[in-house]
Amino acid sequence: MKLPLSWLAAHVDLSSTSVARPDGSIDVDALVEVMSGNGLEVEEVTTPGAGTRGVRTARVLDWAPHPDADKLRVAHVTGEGGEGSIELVCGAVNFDVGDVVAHAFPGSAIPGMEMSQREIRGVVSNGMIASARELQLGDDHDGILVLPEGTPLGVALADLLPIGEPVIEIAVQADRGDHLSILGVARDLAAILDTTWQAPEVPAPHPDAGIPVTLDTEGCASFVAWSLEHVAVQPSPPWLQQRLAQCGVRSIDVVVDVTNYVMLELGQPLHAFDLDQLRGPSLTVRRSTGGEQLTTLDDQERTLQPGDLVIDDAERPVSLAGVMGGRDSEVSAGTTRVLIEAAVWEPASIRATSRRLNLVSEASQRFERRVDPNGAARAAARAVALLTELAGARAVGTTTVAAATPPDFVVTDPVEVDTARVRALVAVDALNTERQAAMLRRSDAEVEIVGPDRLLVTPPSWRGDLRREADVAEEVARLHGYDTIPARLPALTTIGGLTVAQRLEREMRDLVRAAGLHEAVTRPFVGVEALEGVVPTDGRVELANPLAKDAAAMRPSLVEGLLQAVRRNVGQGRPGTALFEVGRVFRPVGDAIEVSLDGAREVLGGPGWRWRDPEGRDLPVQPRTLGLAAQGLRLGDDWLDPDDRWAVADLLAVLDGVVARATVGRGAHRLVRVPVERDGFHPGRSVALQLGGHEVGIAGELHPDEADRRDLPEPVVVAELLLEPFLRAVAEGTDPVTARPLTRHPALTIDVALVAPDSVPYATLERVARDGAGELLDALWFFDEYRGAQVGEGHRSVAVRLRLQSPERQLTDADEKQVIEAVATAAEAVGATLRR
Amino acid sequence: MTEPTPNGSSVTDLNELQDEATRAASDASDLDALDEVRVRFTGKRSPLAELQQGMRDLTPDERKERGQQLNAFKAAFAAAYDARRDQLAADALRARLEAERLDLTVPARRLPVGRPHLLTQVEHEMLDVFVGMGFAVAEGPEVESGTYNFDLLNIEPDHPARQEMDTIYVSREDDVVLRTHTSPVQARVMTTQEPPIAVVCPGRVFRADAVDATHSPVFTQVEGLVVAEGITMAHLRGTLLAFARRLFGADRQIRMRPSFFPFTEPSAEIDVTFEGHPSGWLEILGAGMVDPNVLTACGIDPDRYTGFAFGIGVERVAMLRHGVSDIRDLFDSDVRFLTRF
Repeated sequence: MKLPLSWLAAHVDLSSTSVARPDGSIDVDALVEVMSGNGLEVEEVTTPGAGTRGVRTARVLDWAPHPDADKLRVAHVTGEGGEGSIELVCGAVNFDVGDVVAHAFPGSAIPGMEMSQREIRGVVSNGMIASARELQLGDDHDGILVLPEGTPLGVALADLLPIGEPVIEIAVQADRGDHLSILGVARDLAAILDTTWQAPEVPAPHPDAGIPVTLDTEGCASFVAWSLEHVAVQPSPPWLQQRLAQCGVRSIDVVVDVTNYVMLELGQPLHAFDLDQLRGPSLTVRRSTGGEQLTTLDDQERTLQPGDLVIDDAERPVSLAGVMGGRDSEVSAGTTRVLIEAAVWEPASIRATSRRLNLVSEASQRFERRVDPNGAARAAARAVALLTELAGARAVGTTTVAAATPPDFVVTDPVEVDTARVRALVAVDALNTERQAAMLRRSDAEVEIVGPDRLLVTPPSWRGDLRREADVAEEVARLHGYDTIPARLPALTTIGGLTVAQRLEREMRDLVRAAGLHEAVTRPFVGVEALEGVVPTDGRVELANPLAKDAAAMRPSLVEGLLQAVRRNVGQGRPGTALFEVGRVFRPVGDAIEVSLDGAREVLGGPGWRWRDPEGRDLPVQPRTLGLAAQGLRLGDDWLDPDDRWAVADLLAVLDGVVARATVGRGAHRLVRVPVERDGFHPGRSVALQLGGHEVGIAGELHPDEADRRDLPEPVVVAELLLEPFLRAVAEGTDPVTARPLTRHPALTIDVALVAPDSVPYATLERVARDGAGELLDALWFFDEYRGAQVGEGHRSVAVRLRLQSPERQLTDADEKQVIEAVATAAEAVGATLRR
Repeated sequence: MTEPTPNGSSVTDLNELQDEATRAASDASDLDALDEVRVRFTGKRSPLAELQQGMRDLTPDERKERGQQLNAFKAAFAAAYDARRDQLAADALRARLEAERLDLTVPARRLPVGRPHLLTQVEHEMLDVFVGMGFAVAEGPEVESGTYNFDLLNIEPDHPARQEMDTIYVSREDDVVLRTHTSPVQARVMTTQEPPIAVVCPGRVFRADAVDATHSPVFTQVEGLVVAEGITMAHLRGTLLAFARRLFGADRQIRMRPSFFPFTEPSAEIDVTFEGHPSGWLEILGAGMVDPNVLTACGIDPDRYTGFAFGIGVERVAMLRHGVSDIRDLFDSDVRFLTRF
């Protein structure tokens, strides 16, 4: 809502308040401060027309076509003091001899331009005739500003119109529809500054009845209609055009402009019908039964839905009530008889219609936030007074109808207030019962002290937001000043802190970072095409109203977003990028990922991972995962090894580290790597990571085609691990890890080499060695892989070092021999042989 | 060098031998040569050994005298030997150290530790401030039921605020939404826990906003909730003042301005003093006393308990504090940006 200062000041007495300077003028900065600090949040202060200097009124004495330009005129206008004759060149054609215009003579200025003598096609132009647009008085760019007949000549335009005055724009709170008008803000300012406000004087209803109006629905609380004759539909005077321009409303003609002006001033939307276009003429207000057609002012053919509020004339719908009028009964150039309508509509109905049609008008915005139920009659009368003055209108009748019993949406019931409780809540000791009553009376509430610490507060008709004690508490605190509220820390008796799971999640991030990956945050939306990560699926959590085609669903995995981030870095010319993200991924209920989550929970324990709505229905599955993606060189701080590239093994090492940390002291679980072939992944360089036989992770290199499609230089490696089961496992805390005695018996170290066909994965050979070592195994290291003549084509030898130790005894050669034989036996079972 | 005769050695001969031996030791070019000298002059077949053997044939007096002479010889040789050995060892070590000289200005082969995202850093810092004041941290789903996201928070289906939140829906029929704030976590906490409650709820939230320099359809909130007996607006102010000072500096002031949120009444916007901003104040968060309707809907008696709630935009705080002018930088994961913080 935009508030021209002079308009606002006409409705509230600011002269004796804290925002007035000693000379009575208004300190705008102080006013803005007061408004923003008390619930009238100022968004911007503009000064349309500022920069205008020395522009004066002048009369056009004569004009003739420019001798050397078809589209220009050479005109003479009166000079300073209305005397003399000054020649100038003008591009507009909307003026004639005798018109009073705004002359910007050399040495004067309009916004953004200093005037000087200028030769235009051989004619010296002494300044120019200004348009409303140039003076920022309106949007009209058809021609120059023509002032009303009788405007004195030779006077500064700034003395006639408040050019360049501050226009204060406020953000209107959802519950303060009363702030959508000059009068409403004036009333609130009066309450804040403890001063007086005034509404414009309006004429009494015409004694004669107007056209018949029938209310057939409770959706309309009251309806006022004035019939006017002899209306001259013409442009509005400059002051009215300026007011509208200051408020960002386009000038149409005097009838439409007056309805808009009154709406801005008083907050009550009005509609003007061409009375001659209304059949009957009579009006009926009803709810639509659905299916009726109405072409609205914006030339859109609308089909009404059951429940829409509609105004009919004797034969057909003529207005979509409270939202937009009908085109067929709109005021036009030839209109002479006008019906001015002001009504109070049910907010919820207007909101529903407006939303459904995606049609938000100045009127609908006000009705859906609730207008002052007592304001319709005044607004209609105010419009009539203005049209009488500006358009020669003559009122011939007034019809006023109202619902038999006022509907709920207009009633402001008294509120019982416990002032002790309000004072305690607000924490301002000075706010005793009397003080609270005084604050509320400033807001024009009727306040009755009904007992110790008890008030009965009847809000004014325009304050639909004061319904409960909490609302009253805010009003009291607001008017007393939020800045009087002291600052105290609450004496909390809760035990705060991060949970074990929250600390674990932070530590997981640290572990990943320690491996050289940077943390990314990506937007969690994907298009139809998205690379799958852990537990691939076709299932998507799709959005009903997506913002874009490539953001039609929630991500099923983190890898897609990470790869896009990697691509952006490649585009920046980075030789290597390694990113990770911790976040939720999204799957429909019943997705395959549920099996993994359940399976992992069986291994790790912890509470369930489902989220449900209050009725117990499952929400989409949304586990947290850890995603990794890396490409190109593993760059050190300041070294570059052109052969050192990010490899799948690097990411596997990260995930193993995370899992080891997550399960330390609780089984120290290891992920089992199983080679897999997946869409988009290199068929020979990808593994699923299993826990208890269920996939909880994946790691692999992108398929060359996939890397190519994404314009990513190979190799590109990605991985994803379900974190949710690991975090849930510690959600209810963990038992302390207990120490194990450090054995003093020396360790026995054995190296074993196993020869096997290449088809036998290392993991199998390692398992053979582990199984062979059995209970005695303290540690195992892989240390060599050999291919060559000694082991035969298609075979390799894998060497691991075993460290054996027993807490009870010293190990002997017999133990070593027993382990080696056990390894040899286990090796045979998988098609491998122990190298002796 | 003359070979000393085994049996006819005189004192003069022995002195000469001593000179010869000590000179040979001192001249030895390395430890191996030194050892050779030792063997030559004091080994099993050395003149010394022969003299010692020959002592058996001497008279006791002669034996005594010869013994003293031999001991003097041994002592002199040992001294020369040790001196030369120490010298050679020192030379060898010096040579080794010289040979082992490294240019340690060559960069180390070490991967830099990755950086935490700025949003993570700021979020954790914010959470830690509240944890220090006794808050717990609560989390919830991002795809949320409309009941938790709206209904329990006093945002009726028809309420203008519900429209203004520009909700992204997963299913209008089933009333499943991308949460528009983390307040549904508060609702989950209030419907499952008894007061006193003090929680902060961090997380991603969503609005149907097109991406530009100041808007993002996904952003991060830290919301807080305290519900207990006797909680007042002064507690709200005190908590947020402490927060603002910890995050922005001990000299900061805050001010509260009346505002409107469906889930709080009274409601306030909180500004913090900010040098360099024209008005001297910058809005950092919205807050208020928990609306009695919200307490009732969540099963908490509003006549017994009161509470306050607040919501902070992590992106906004990060941008203000760290001079980030384009919110897109926070979601593009440009490594140049990530490694700056």
